[in-house]
Amino acid sequence: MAPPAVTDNTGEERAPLLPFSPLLRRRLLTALPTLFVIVTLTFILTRAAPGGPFGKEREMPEAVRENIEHRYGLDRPVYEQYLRFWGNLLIGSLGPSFQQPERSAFGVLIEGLGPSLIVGLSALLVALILGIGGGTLAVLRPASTPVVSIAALVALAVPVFVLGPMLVRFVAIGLGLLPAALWGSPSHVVLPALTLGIPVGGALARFWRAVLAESIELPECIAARARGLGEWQLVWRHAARKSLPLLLNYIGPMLAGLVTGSVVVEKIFSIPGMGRCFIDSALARDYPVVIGATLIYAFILLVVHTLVDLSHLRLDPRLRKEHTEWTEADRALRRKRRAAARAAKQSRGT
Amino acid sequence: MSMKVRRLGRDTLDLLLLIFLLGGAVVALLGAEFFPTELAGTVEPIAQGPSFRHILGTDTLGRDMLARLLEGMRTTMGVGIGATLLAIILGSIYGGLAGLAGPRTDEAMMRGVDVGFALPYMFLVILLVSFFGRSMTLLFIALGLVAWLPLARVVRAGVRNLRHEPFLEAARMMGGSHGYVLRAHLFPQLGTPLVVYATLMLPVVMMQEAFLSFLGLGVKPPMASWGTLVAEGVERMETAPWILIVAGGSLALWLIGLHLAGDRLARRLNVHRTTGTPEKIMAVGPAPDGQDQEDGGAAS
Repeated sequence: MAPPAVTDNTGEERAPLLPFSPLLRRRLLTALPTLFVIVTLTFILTRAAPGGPFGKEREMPEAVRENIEHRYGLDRPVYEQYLRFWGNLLIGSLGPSFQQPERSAFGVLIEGLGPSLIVGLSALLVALILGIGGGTLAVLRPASTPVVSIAALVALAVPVFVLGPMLVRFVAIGLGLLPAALWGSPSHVVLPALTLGIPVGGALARFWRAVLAESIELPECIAARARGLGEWQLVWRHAARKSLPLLLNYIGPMLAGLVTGSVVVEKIFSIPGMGRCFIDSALARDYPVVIGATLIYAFILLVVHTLVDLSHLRLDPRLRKEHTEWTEADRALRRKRRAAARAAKQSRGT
Repeated sequence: MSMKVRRLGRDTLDLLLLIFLLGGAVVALLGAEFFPTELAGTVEPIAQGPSFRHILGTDTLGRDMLARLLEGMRTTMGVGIGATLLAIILGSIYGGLAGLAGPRTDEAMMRGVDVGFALPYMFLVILLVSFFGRSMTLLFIALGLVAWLPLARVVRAGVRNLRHEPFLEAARMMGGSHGYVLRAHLFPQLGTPLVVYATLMLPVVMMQEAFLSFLGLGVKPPMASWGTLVAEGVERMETAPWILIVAGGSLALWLIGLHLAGDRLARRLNVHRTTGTPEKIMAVGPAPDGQDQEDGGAAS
C-alpha cells in the first residue's frame, strides 16, 4: 500500500513512512492527552483520597511513620510529588511498590501480565468462535435463528461474576472435571476463559448476525448467489469480507469488556494476574502499582485502537485511496507552510 | 393468518415481559416494607436450606434469604435507575450543547468525549470507590459519570441531524438561546431515541453496580446488593449452594428480562441500535486546509 514517494522542494526524496502518516499522527494526538489525563486523574485520586498507604490503622510509632513517608516522598508538597512522578515515569519507572518495598511497581505488574494475557487471549478465542460461529449459523440457517438469538441474549445478560461461580460449582465441584481455581497447568485456563469469553461471545454473535444479514443483501452478494455460489462460499468470499471492517470497529468495545471482566475472573479463580493485583493494590493504597496498572490498561486499549485503524486501511481499498490522497494533501500543506516560513525568514533577514 | 398469530404471540410476549419487569420493580421497592419482620431478623438457623418458614433458606448469619434478596434488589435497582437518570441528564445537556455549538467548540467537546471513551473508566470507578469509602451516593454518581458518554454522542448526532430544520431556524431567529432551543424544541424530538438508549443502558449500569458490590466495593455490609449476595453465595458455595443459586439466578433472570425489553422497545419504536455504523476513519482527521469538517467528532 506504499503511496508514491514524494519529492520535497529541497530536492531530496523522502520515503513516505507509515509511522508518519497523518492517521497515526492523529491517533497520537488523542493518545497523548488521554495518557496524560489518566496519569493526572489517577494521581489526583490517590492524593485526594482520605487516609493513606501508611494510615492510622496500622500501628507504628510516629517517628517510624514519618520516616517511611519521607522515604517515599509522601511528606513533600503534592505538586512536587506530581512532578517527581512524571520525571520517574519519563525514564520508565514508577518507583518502588509501597506494599513490597523491595520490588519495583512495574516488576509487580509485569509478573501479573502473563497470566492476564493468557486468560484474556483464550477468552477472546472463545468469544470469536462462539460469536462468529453463532452469528453465521443464524444467518445461513434461518431455522436456528431463534435459538441462537435467545442463547446469545442469555450469554450476554448473565454477568461474569454469576457465570463464573456457577461454572465452578457445577462443572468443577459438581462434576469434578476441571480445577476450580488457582493457576499453573493448561487445564486451569479453561474455566476462566469460558467465563470471560461466553458473555462477550454472546454480544458478538448478535452483532455479527446483524452485520452479516445486512451485507448478504448487498448487490454483489445477490449477484454471487445468482451465479450459483453455495451459501457457505457466499458468506466466506463475499459477505464476511464486506463485514470485516465493521467487526474491527467492534473489537474496541469487545476488548473493554474483556479487560473489565478479567478483574473479576481473576478474583473468582484466584489467578495471580494484573486485575487481581490492581484490586488488591487499590484496597491497600499501593499507589505506584495502581497508577501503573491503569496506565497499562489504557495503553493496551490505545494500541489496539490504532491497530484497528491501520487494518481498516489494509482491508478497504477505498479508504486506502482516500488516505493516500489525504496524505498527499497533508504533505503539500506542510510544504507550503514550510516554504512560507522560509520566505518570511528570508525577508526578515534582508 | 400465520402473520396474525405470530404478531399476537409477540404482543403477548411483550406484555408478559412488561408484567415481569414492573412486578419485579414493585416487589423490589415495596417488598421489604411488607415483609414479615419477625422473619427478616431471625438469627437461629444459620445457613439453612429452603424450608416452609424460610422459602429461600437463610444466609450465613441466619437472616432470611428472601428478605435479603428484596433488600439487594432495591439497592441495585435504585442505584441503576438513579445512575441512568443522571447519565441521561448529563449526556443530553452536553451532547445537545455540542450539537448546537459552532464547529470548533463541537470538535473540542466531542474530542473530550473521545478521550473519555479511551479511559479504562471501570478502573477509575474502582479507584474512586475504593479510596473514598463505600457509599450508595458515591456509587450512583460514579456510575452515572461513566454512562453519559454514549448518550452524549447519540444526542449530539440527533441535534446535528435536526439542526437545519425550519422549526429550529425559526426558534433561533426569534432569539431563542441554546438552552431554550434545546428544552423546547430538541428534547421533545429526541425523546424516542433517548428512551430506547436509556432502556438499553439500564441493565448495563445495574450489572456494573452488582459488579462493584461483588468485588466488595459497593454498599457497606449491613446493606445488601445483588452483587454482595452473589459474593456471599460464592463464599459458601459448597456448604450453602442455594445462596448462590438464588442470588445469581435471580440477577441473571432480571438482566435477561431488561435486555430483552430494550431490544423489543428498540424494534417497536424503530430505532436503529448501534450495530456500529460504518465510520470513515478519515473523518477523524483535519481537513488538510485547516478548515473544520462538518462531522469531525463522530468517528472512533
